[in-house]
Amino acid sequence: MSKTILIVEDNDLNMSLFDEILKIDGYNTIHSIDGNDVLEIARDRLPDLIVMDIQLPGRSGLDLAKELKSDGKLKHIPIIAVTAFVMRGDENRILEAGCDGYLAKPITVPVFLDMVAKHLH
Amino acid sequence: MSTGNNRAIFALVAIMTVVGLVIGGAAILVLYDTAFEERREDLRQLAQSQARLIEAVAHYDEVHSRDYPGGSFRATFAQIEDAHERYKGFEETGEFVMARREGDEIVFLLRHHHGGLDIPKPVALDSPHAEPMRRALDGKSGTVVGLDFEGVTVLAAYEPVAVLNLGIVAKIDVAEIREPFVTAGAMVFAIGFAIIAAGAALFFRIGNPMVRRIVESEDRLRRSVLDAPIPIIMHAEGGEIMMVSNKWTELTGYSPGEIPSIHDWTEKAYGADKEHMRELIGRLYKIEEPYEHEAHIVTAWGEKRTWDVRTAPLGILPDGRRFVISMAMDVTERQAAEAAMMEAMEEAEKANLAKSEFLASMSHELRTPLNAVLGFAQVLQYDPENPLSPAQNTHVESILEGGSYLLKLVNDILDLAKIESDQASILLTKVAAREVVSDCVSLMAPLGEKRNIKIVDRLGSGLSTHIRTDRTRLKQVMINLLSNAVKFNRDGGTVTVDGRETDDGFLRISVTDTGIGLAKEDAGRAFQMFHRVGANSLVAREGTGMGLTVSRVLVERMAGRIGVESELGVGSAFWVELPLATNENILIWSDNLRVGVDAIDKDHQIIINLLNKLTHRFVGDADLDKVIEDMEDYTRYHFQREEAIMEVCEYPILNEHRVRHRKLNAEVSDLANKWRNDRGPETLHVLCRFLRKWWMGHILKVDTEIAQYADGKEEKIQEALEKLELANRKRPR
Repeated sequence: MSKTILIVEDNDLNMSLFDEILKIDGYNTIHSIDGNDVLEIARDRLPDLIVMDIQLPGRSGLDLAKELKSDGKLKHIPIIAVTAFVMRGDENRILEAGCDGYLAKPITVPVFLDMVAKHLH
Repeated sequence: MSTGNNRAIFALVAIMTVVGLVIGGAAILVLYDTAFEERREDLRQLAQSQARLIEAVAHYDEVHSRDYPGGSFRATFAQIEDAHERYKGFEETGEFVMARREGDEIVFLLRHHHGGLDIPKPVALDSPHAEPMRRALDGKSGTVVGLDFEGVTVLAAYEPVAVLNLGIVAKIDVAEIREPFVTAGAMVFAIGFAIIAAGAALFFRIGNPMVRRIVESEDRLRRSVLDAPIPIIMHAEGGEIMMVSNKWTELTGYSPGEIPSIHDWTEKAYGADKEHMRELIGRLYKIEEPYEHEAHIVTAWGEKRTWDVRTAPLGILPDGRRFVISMAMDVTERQAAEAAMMEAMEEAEKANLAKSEFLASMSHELRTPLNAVLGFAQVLQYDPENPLSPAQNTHVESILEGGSYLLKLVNDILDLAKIESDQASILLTKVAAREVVSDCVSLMAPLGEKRNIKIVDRLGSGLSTHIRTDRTRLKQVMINLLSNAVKFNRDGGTVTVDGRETDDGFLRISVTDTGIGLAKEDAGRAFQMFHRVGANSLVAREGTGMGLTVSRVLVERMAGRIGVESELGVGSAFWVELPLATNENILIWSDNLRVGVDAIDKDHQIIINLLNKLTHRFVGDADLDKVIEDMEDYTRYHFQREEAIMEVCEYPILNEHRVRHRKLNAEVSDLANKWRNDRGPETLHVLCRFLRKWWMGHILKVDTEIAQYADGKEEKIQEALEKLELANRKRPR
């Protein structure tokens, strides 16, 4: 059975980019475009992995990561942050919030897919 | 030595002389008095015994010598005469006289003196002479100091001889009694005087140089305290102020007379602080080590000043009180400048933060669409179900290449913009060049290893030199130079990092590669923005051509130099020179020199750059003339601008500044002319040193005050400066 990946991304183009890439590699995808419904969806569907932008219109990806990681039922779900925050200190901040992986935008597709695969095993 | 001290010594000698003479005189007088009384007693006894003896003989003769020729009186007289002829007499002027009254005359019968016997002439009874005899003939007995029959002052004993109605007198000249004492007195005086004179001479010879030294060193101490360029007081336990330096009086307005004790000082100068200060000062008398405290004083004219006071114990006075010296430094301006500097730094920090936020969000906003562009291009290549034709694939490659380049360009521009606008990020410290270089070499080594390029660090293993620079920025420059050296090297080549101190106080770090080298025209333009060496496709892929520009801006910001020596096909040697930590001749414009008025800051920065050019001396004499001329011109220009700004800002001591500016202009012209006539390194050095000192003083102490008046008047300032520009343009130069 193919794995399900939750994509949290507010930018349409980037959402369809991640969706396309992941589908090419055979993953199922579900979407959240503002972050407000992430916890709900995660509890409902229990995705195998979450790909998440950090700057979201609803709420900060950092807060979401913290909440996901403090929920006993959800904390095992790996979170990969894919973000345009590339200033000094951003990566540390994001990993400290509980994300399992960090990728800067723009992404390199094979690197992205490698990281997804790695966190699913 | 002062005449006052001479006078004191002469007074001392005079007092000693007088005391000596009084003591000697008194002793002689007492001895004389005793001797005189003794003599008086002798004379009295002599006269009385003679009288009684003569009376006894007369009684005898009255009974037994009635038949003596001339009667019994003659018999008695003859015996007396006989006795006196055999008697030797006494003293030099001692005399024995016998007389009787005949009518109104005293008729002398006998006089026995040193020379023998004779009979003096009679003396009238009412004459002032022969006073003792007159008393004897009056039947009196006693002693007297009076005139004798010859009118000489004598000490005499008189005695009546009752039986014969005679008077006898034994007398001696007063002069004779006095004579030895007068001699003794004279000798005491002479010897005393000689001893005192010799003593005084000896004192002057032996004691005086010592005294002179003590007095002089005391005098020097006194003068140096009085004339010291800083406020100094010396005070003792209990509060007595023993010395107040003139500077103290000048700065506070309280004369020594107004502050006889430290309590008066506390009362006058410390205002509300006085209780606390009194307690603190009380503790100062017990210190064993120098002690420092800050004092907030109020001057006589009501101005508040801040002093750093350092107090040191001086020991214990003869009366047991401890005493101390307190030296002060007026730090009012410095503290104000420091506070202003802190404020300026905070402001810069704030501006910096705003800029960082802008840069972060700009970077974020650019990356988001780039992610889609580059991502979908990759998807096109990646999707195995819809493979691209070879031509399509090439086009997609181009999209990816262009996108990557765009990304890199965005990054570099952001970086350069950050450096150029962000002066606060230059943080000057003493940096060990060797450590920074060896860090960078280790960082870059893996990059070289990929292409078998060896990086040799000769600096890291050699010189231990400290430079004054920003560590992070130096690292950035070194990484840029090292990555270029690797990038443009041939596979299997070498990169050598070396360092040496230059004669003018810089450390030159060079990075030499064995790469493709630069054509001459390229070497000249290597540090210009967007200039890419060779402009070939290889280079285009590897960089935006901004790295060297960033390095140049950074190095110049740190008062350094950057350059390249290169030969096409052989390799390039890029070098940077940064001021050694010991190099005090180079001024580096960092944020703490900011006054807060843009136009003035800009001027200062330009002047500091010109000054560094003069000091660097990397231009020929002709160019040096130009730099000095520019310096003179720009200084004048700057003062014009500054005065215009001060005027619109209603700066209170504008006139004082005008005077200062004129003085500096004159001095600079003078020194510049001296150099033009002499052209020796020393005269140039004098000019540079003067300018450096003046400018640092001017910028750090004086110009910082302008900011508070300029606040909120940016438009007015701009107008004033434009007006000035117009006026200058109209005026023929």
